[in-house]
Amino acid sequence: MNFIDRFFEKKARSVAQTNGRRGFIKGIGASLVGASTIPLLPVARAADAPVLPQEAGDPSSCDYWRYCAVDGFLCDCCGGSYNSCPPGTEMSPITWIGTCRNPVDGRNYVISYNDCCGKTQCGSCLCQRDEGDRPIYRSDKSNDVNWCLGATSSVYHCSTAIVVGVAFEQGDKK
Amino acid sequence: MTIKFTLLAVTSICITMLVPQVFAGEINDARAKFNYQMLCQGCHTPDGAGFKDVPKIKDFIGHFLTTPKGRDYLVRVPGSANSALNDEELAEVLNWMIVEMGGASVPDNMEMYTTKEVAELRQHSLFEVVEYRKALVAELSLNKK
Repeated sequence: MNFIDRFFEKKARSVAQTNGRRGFIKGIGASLVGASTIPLLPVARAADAPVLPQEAGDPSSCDYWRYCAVDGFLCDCCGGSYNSCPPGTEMSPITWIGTCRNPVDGRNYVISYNDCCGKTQCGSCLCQRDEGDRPIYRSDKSNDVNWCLGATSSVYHCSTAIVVGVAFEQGDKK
Repeated sequence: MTIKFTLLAVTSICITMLVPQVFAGEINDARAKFNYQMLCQGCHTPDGAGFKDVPKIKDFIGHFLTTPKGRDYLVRVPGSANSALNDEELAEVLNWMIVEMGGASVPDNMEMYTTKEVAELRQHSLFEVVEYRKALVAELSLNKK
């Protein structure tokens, strides 16, 4: 034990002789200031942040904000949700995409209307709002395309409305 | 000593974070990503992996930059040439796709598309694009050997 006491005493004295107490405080201060500037550095933090908008309303109602451009049966009424397909159906990986304004925060979000495929039409909650829908000759902006053509089965069942990002507004910074 | 070290560390972090932005050049990431989502992602999928008959962008798009004909193709393909984007935005989204999704397929001497180049090339939109692409990819793979 004496050895340990001597060891720490020696080390403590050596530190006290070579480093002032003020220097130590100065160092801590500088580190704190240094660390506090890191969050101010120019990093695109918003780029990969998860998009989780605050929402209000009934997801099984056609006037729910996410459905502004939908044309079909709402999966929320068919055993799924606005984010997921009902059991026994497959989500088509190809889809049509639009934007809807969320009334809670007033921002426009990018919505992916992935169809659920593989069972006959759900038949509940038909919703046809079609905002921003374009004629079939602009197929990438037309919701009349059967997007289930991208799935294993091309039989359409219902539509989801998945938020995939925040819309870019002219005037947004880089 | 401690201050110097702290300053050095903070400066290094600053430089490390700034470098990728300098290389990104004129690309407005938020706008390019939004335009990709709105006009490309529906078919090409979120990460550009493609699906069934939808061509793959991920880890592949850079191969087209190895020949002039391939470089022209990326602008002349109907999805690009006929898109609702203006020339500047089209050049930007193409450059963004190459940087974000090209991976190892992008050649070291890759040159960014310019607005002027895109404006000229998109006047010559392709027809029979499936056959054209098949022949082009065969040419590109011959070129690599």
